[in-house]
Amino acid sequence: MNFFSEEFFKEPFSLSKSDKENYIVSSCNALSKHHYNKCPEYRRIIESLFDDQMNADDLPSIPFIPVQIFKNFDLLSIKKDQISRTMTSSGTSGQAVSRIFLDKKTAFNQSKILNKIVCDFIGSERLPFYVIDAESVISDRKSFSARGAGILGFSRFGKGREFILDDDMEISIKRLEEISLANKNKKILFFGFTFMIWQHLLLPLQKLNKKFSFKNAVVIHGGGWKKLNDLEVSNNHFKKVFKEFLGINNVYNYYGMVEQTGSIFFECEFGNIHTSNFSEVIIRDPISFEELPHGESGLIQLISLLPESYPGHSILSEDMGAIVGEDDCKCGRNGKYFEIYGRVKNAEIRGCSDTYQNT
Amino acid sequence: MLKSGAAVTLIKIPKSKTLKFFSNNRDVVLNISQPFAEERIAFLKSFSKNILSNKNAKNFPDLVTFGYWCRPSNIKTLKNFYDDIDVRLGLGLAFHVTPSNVPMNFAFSFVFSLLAGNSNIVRIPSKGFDQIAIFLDIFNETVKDYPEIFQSTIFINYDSSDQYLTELFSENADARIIWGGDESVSALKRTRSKERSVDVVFSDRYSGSIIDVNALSALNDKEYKRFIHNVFNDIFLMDQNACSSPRAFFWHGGSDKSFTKIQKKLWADVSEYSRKNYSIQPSQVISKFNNACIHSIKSETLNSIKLYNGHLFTQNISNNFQKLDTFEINSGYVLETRIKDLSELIPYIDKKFQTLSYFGISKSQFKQFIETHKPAGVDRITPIGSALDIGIVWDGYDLIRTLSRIIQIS
Repeated sequence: MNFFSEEFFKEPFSLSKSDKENYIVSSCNALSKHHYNKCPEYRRIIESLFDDQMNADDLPSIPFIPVQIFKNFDLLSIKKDQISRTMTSSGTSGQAVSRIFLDKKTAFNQSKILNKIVCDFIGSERLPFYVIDAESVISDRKSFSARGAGILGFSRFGKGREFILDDDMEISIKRLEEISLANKNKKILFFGFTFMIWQHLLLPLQKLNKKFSFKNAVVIHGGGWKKLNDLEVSNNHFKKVFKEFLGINNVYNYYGMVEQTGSIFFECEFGNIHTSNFSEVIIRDPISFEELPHGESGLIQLISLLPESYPGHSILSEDMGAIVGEDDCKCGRNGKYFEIYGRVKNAEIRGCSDTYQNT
Repeated sequence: MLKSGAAVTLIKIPKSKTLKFFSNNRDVVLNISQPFAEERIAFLKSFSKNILSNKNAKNFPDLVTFGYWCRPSNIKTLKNFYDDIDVRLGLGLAFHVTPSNVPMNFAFSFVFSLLAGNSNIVRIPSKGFDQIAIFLDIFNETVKDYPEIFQSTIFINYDSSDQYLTELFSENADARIIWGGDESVSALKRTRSKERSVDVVFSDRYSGSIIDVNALSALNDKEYKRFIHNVFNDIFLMDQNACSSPRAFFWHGGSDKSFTKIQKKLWADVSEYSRKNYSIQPSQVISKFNNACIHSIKSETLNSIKLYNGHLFTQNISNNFQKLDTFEINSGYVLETRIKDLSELIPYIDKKFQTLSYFGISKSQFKQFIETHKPAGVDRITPIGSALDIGIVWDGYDLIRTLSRIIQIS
């Protein structure tokens, strides 16, 4: 028994507003109850902060927990011996990382739904698969970083798998030329993390002014724009460079986090990021946490119907974004679609401590 | 020179990559005076005048407050508290390590020690606070007319990796005034100092407030508005992250009905006042929300937490006792509980408890409370609204007496 309906496997973007809200609310209520009963930490949060919201009447009333909390505590709704896989976020060195615990069922559902969503964009044919990363990222099989988990998750869409960066994260132009020759005009799939692709593929090609023509290739990338925003590289510019230096038109960005693997948000050919029948977003005022109307910028709350082994079905992220529209994207997919503006800035607060160590 | 002690010792400051001077003096001459020496009061008079007439300074309430504090009338009032300054002299050289996140604390640390009669090496925050830059401009201009103070004062900053500078200053200092978190303080305490040198330590502390329910309910509109302003100031002026910012509120007395009514009203009004007067950042609210979840998970019983428009979170801590410093508190997050009698404060007032700010309770009640219960902590009991006012008596130290010595003539 799942908390989502399998009848949506065929069409993961079919639900429109009136049906979707009821379906998401009742599924979330069931998930909230499940985690309330199975995860004592979640139960205490709900009791302190969302006491009367266990039976939400509408979307904004669904309880949510901060994404940061997965860095502070190990949150499980299963017994420890049921853990089949632990995933960690790719925090920069020295920072705490999120730890997400999967049992077989949740892991299975994640790859199933990922499959349904991705195939809706690139088709179900398995393509020659090239990872713009180094093989060393997936060397540990029991514990996965977000990068490793992403690569493994997307590998199922490929025929074979080749990592095209060496362990020093260097691209070999010669190898790229060989791949180009071997796949002349064939549909192939490149996959990687946004910043890694920029840093280790697109920048070197621009520097060397080396151009390729992978006309029918598809690129899927994700992982966030934080570092590229700092470098002032926009999604449009990123796509432009792909087109100019690799001849690729089909570049798909996805938005997702290790806390909600599987039910990712995919960018369509019109540049809109879509929710599916397995996910939802709510935009909240970053101070009052009140729900905001479409078009207004606020904190993104992410809902996924997959997390069963850990209480991650409704998470308040630290990303700002806005809902662009609902049920009316030119690509024909139903559901909300949205934009992401990036992480909120850290405020420096005053105080008497910290004199000697940190000045 | 002879007027205020003989200038004999010179402390040469060595060169270092990370060392920056913010005053024009380079080496420190040891000038010692009696507390409240005429020249020092005269200097503060000019300094105060120059700060209060400076256009740029006007934008910084903390700098203006400091300017007011240095006025002759205030200094004379303080001086009158002391009846033994004739037989006192400053300890000598004071080395100050001041907080990096509170812009003006270094300034108070400096003038307290100056008034006690010492020469001063002041390590100031490295962050570029505008009010510090303005302070230093005015200081460097004013001090031109006061050569003894000029010679005996430096404002510097250096990286803590330059440990030998800390060692050098510690070896030469007769007093070290150390502000900082527990770790910073113990790191400094491990640095050797003179056998007879005095350490004045302002380490991690926390504070609380007490409100009498009936007294608050009895306020008229005008008084109530003033009270909201005062509570807001105590909580938000230092992002609720200073030692004297209240983290817990104790509601004293009152019937259940009047308590519920006035409590809800107060928090709603403080939150609304904050919405208009405090620009809170999303990251502060997100971190409060995360802290609320951490507190819920760590506590063994139910703690109802309420969000007043993001500006103010309140958490009821009545159900189980937890030490107040086990909570992560800043930027508008209030812990609260009801008490029938002052004696119920005792479990909360440990050594780290610094300031109890109050409303509607009389001084004599507190005196009796101290006498009867002899609490382990609390150094300061002050009306709500003045929690953040810094004074010459701080954290239980009388800084004039602590930073000077008495010469016994018999």
